[in-house]
Amino acid sequence: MSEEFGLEEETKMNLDEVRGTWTDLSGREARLRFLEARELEARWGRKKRQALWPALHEGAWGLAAVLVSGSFAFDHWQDILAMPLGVIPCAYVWLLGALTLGGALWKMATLSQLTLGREVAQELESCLRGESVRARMAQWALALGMSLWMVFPLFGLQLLGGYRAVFAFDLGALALQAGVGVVLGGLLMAWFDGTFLGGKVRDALFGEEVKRIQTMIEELRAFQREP
Amino acid sequence: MGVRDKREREARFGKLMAESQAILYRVALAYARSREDLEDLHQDMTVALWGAFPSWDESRPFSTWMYRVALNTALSWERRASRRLKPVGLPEGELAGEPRGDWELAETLRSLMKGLPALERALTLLYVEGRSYEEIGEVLGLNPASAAVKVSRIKERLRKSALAE
Repeated sequence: MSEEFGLEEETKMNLDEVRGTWTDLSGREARLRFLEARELEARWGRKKRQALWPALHEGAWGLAAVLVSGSFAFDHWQDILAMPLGVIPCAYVWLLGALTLGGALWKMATLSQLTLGREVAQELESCLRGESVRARMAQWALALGMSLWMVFPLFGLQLLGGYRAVFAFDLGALALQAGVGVVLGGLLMAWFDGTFLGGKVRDALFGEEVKRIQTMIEELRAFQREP
Repeated sequence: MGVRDKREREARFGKLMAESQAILYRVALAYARSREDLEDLHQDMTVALWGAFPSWDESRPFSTWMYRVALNTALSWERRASRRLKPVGLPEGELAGEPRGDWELAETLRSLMKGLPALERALTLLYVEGRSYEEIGEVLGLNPASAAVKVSRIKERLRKSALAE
């Protein structure tokens, strides 16, 4: 018992021992470089631009996809009515574009609200929610891309050679692309045994990444709620 | 913002930073994994504080706000660093210019905080910083009583893991 007590005292003191001397560290000898106001201003501006740039980039791609596929559908609405299946590739590009655009706008709105001066728990939850949206978008893009891979050659032929292959998109083509997509996806998963990119592709596709982030958000909220 | 306002802002920021630079140094030290990290993180925190400075409510203590910005920056920096997969540890040669005692103490603290979730690590650091439970609660977004209970739970967990070793 006394031995246990001794151990308890020794280990319990560790954090408190650190506490006893920690605030004596002043950093005076650390030779850290302090930035001038002008440099601070320049770096802050650069930081904001760097944070916004990927969202602006994604937003521009999303908008272009929405406009191109939307105008294509508008120009060919009579053909589309005659061959309703032809709308699938176009709808896929439009949906992916709309998702990308929505995600980019959401990111920009979130970034504009980040002040870093909020409570740490609140800031952490915001970051996790951002990661959750990104993971959900990656899941949609992967799932749609895998099952609708034929969209890319169809649009490629149209854009590069002007061949309107999209109107050859019938039930057979739809079944073929879905079937090949599933087989290819299965082969890929089996080949990499889920370890491709550290299992990230598999986790993203099956929503494991989203679940993991949701669990972290729940844990964070529970940590705040519990006494 | 006028030139005079800008100069006043710079002067005020400089004065507050000079008064509280030790806090910033310790937070950076607690999260840094190398001398290079320490400088990067310290500068990131200073830049973040400068950018967020207009949002500081002057009726509230500067230190509380500073801890929030510094910890939020450190946690975001840590997430980015984990994606970069930089090697952990400080090569012996890099200790020049760094007080050895500071780094050793920081290593002890980091090893104590290892494995704890981000918010609990921040809580542990604020406890070690000697902040009151009221201030800890205000920085993290917890009520003070809950912060006190959580600190005692963390201590208990550390005691158990030390016993298990």
